[in-house]
Parts: sequence; structure tokens; C-alpha cells
Amino acid sequence: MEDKELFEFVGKEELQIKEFVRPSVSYWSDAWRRIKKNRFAMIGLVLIIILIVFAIIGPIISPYEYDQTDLNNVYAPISWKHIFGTDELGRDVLTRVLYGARISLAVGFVASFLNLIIGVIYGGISGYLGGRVDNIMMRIVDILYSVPILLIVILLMVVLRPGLTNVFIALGIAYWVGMARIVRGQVLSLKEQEFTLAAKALGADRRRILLKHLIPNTIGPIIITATLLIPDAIFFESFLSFIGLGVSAPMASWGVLASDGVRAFRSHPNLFLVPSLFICITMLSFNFLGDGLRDSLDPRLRK
Amino acid sequence: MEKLLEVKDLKTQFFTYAGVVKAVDGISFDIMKGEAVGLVGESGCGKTVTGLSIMRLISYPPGKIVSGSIQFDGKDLLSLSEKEMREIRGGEISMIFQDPMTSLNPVLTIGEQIIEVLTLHKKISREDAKKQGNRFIESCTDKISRGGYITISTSIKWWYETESYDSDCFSM
Repeated sequence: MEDKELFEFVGKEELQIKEFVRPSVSYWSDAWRRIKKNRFAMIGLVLIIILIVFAIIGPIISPYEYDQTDLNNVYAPISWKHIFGTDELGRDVLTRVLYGARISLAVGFVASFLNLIIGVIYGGISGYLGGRVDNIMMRIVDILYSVPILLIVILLMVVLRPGLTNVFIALGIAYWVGMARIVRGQVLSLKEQEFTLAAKALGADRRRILLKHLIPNTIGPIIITATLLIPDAIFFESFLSFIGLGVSAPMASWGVLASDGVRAFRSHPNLFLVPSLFICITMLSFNFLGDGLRDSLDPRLRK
Repeated sequence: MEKLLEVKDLKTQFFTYAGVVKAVDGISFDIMKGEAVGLVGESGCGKTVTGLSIMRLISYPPGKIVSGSIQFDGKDLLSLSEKEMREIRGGEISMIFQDPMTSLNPVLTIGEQIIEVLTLHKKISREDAKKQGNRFIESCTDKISRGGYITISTSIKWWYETESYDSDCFSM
């Protein structure tokens, strides 16, 4: 056999290497793709959505009002008529828990949103201006941080008297320090990057650089912190209501329900266990979701 | 020929814990209108600091322009307010940074970063700016498909052709 026969002529066309085009994946679709793989985060997300839906429609479709008493049916056991039984005034526990979900979830979301606004603006300004301004602003944060949050909130509630709006105000004032620190740290490192200098060289003013160039770069940590703040706020509101500083009867947050239930815990444990269970499930769901977001929004873990 | 930029005895120094670093130590040069000037030198000799000094982008601390004067188009750049300086940055003097990977913002689209300079300096609406940005990209791809290169003059031409409501704002 001649050497020539061992070789085969490859046409010019076949030599052309196929262009490898990776489908362009945006930040959000990539994050979504990764969080879908995280089973716990998805369970958390689904539970949260179910909870929100039931909190909205539950009290509407329920045959009972949340404050409707039925003294002939006090401490009814768990049955088809009252799925979670009734309390000491004959109020339907399921209706009250779903109504409480509205308040607890509202507290969580509003408090988290308030903290987001205050924390991002405060931390952003502090980090971007730097120097003495940063020093003063961060010492204020340190002082707020060193005083126990519970103490601040209790003092505020004493001054403002218990009630739903005041729970919002108290949580809004107390919880933003963590967010401010995270945003400040991010901005501090981002402002040294070249694209900030490039934006300055374009003639952008400080406000524009901070809001359009720096804050969008910190959106991942902001979302994670805000998500993990929701269960914190819900738990804190429940705790405040439990010790009688939050919303008061006949309004029903989960804390109020648990507080009422604990009195009859020995004879009718369902009154305490049901709202507690809801608090636990919600806390777990948000924490799972927050952890999932932390993993999926981190560009370093991108695959 | 008319002088456009006149740098006289410019000294920019950095005050660090290890002492004063004289990054630019008494440079003087003129640039005439319509002239292209290249500043060449070894690494670390102060080319970038000279450029940043003209744009007044040296941040204090640690850097400071300690003496000298920079005249641009009849204006003394060192005595302008920050607001007047912003009008000049990107409006009359531009800067192209060395590394596009770090000088572009990773969370904004290229389109948004192209039109940013228009919305800042040309007083046109976002929609118009978007159109102009698309026109720029198209002219670039046209040029490439015809076998040409994108040059700085491509973008300068685009800058001049873009409608503006205060036409005297750019004179370079």
C-alpha cells in the first residue's frame, strides 16, 4: 500500500470550524435557572406563594368572620366544620390564622421594603462619599447596632402605643442597619473600579453614579438581605404581639393567636400549635428562599 | 493656529504614607485646534496622571494638582466649579480608558452606556438618544462588513452628526 492511500483529502468546506455560539444568558434568567435546581428554595417559594394566595382569598371565602364569636361552640374540636377548631370565644381558628397571615406577611414585606429604602440610601451615600462623612454615618450605625433592637422597639412602642402602624415604624427604624452596612461595603469597593472613573469622565454627577452605576451592581446582596429580613420581621412582630406590644385583639396576627392559645395550651393545644406551625413554615420558607437566592445570585458560582 | 489646550508647568503629586510621589513634575505643552498629539513614554512616567489631571479626575486624598495651569478653549480648568467641569467631561473632552473589561459597567447594557453621554450632554430625550445609539452601532457594523475598521473618527463623526439643542457646547 502506498503512503498516499493512507490519507484522504478533506474538502475545504469541511475544514471550516463551526462557530460556537453560546446562547446569551442574562443575569436574571441564569439566576432563575439555578434557583430552579435548588429544591429547598423552590419548596420555600411555592409555600410562600400558597400562603400569600390563601392570606388574600382565605378570609373572603371562609364562612366565618375573623372576629365572629359563637358562644355555643366554644373550644370546638377539630372537625370539618372548623378545620382547626374554635377558640375560647367560638371564633374559627383557621379563619383567624389566615387573617393573621395577612397581617404577619404585610408586616414582613412592608418592614423589609422600608429597610431596603433606608438602608440602601444610607449605606450608598456613606460608602460613596467616604472619608469623614462615612465615618460619622457609620458610627451612628454602630451605636444603633450596639443597643439591643428589642430595647429600641419596646421603648418606641411605649412612646407610640401598640398598634399595627407603629409596629411598621418601629421595625423600619430598627432593622435597616444591616442593609446599610452591606450596601456601604459593596459601594466602597465598587467606587474604586474603573467604570466609576469612566462614568465620571463622561460627566455624570455623583447622584447619577451612585444610583445608576453603583447601586445596580449591588442588587444581588440587596435582594438577599431583603428576603432574609422578611422572616426576621415576621418573627419579631409575632414576638411583640406575643408579649402584648404588637397588634391587639380582635385583630389577629400570628403572635396574638399564639399568645391567646398558650393560655389554653394544656386542654386545647391546637389553639397554640396552629399559629406556631404557620410561623415556623413561613420562617423556614423565607430562609430557604433567601439561601437559594444567595447561591443563585452570586456570579462567582455561575456555571 | 489657535491654541485649544495649553498646559503650563503642571505638577500633580500623591501624598502617601511613604512620602510625596511626584507623578507629574512640571509638564508644559500646547495642543492646537485640529491637531492630533500623542503623548508617549514608558510605564509609570505619568501619561495617565497627566490625562486625569486635565479632566480633573485626580481624587484628593491622596492626589492633588499642586501647581501649574490648564487653559482649555479660553477657560482655566483648574478654577472651574465641579458643575462646570462636568459639562466639559464627556461634553468637550473625552477619555478612552485602557481596559474595556473594567471600564464598562457589568450590569448595564452596551447600548445604555453608549447613549449615556448623549443624555448627559446633548439635552435630547431618551428615545432620541436610543435612536442615535442604534445608528452608531449600525454604522459600525456597516463599516466592519465592508472590511473597514472602527476608528475614533467614527465616533467623533457620530457625535457631531447627532442633533443637539445647544450646538456651541462642543468645540473640539
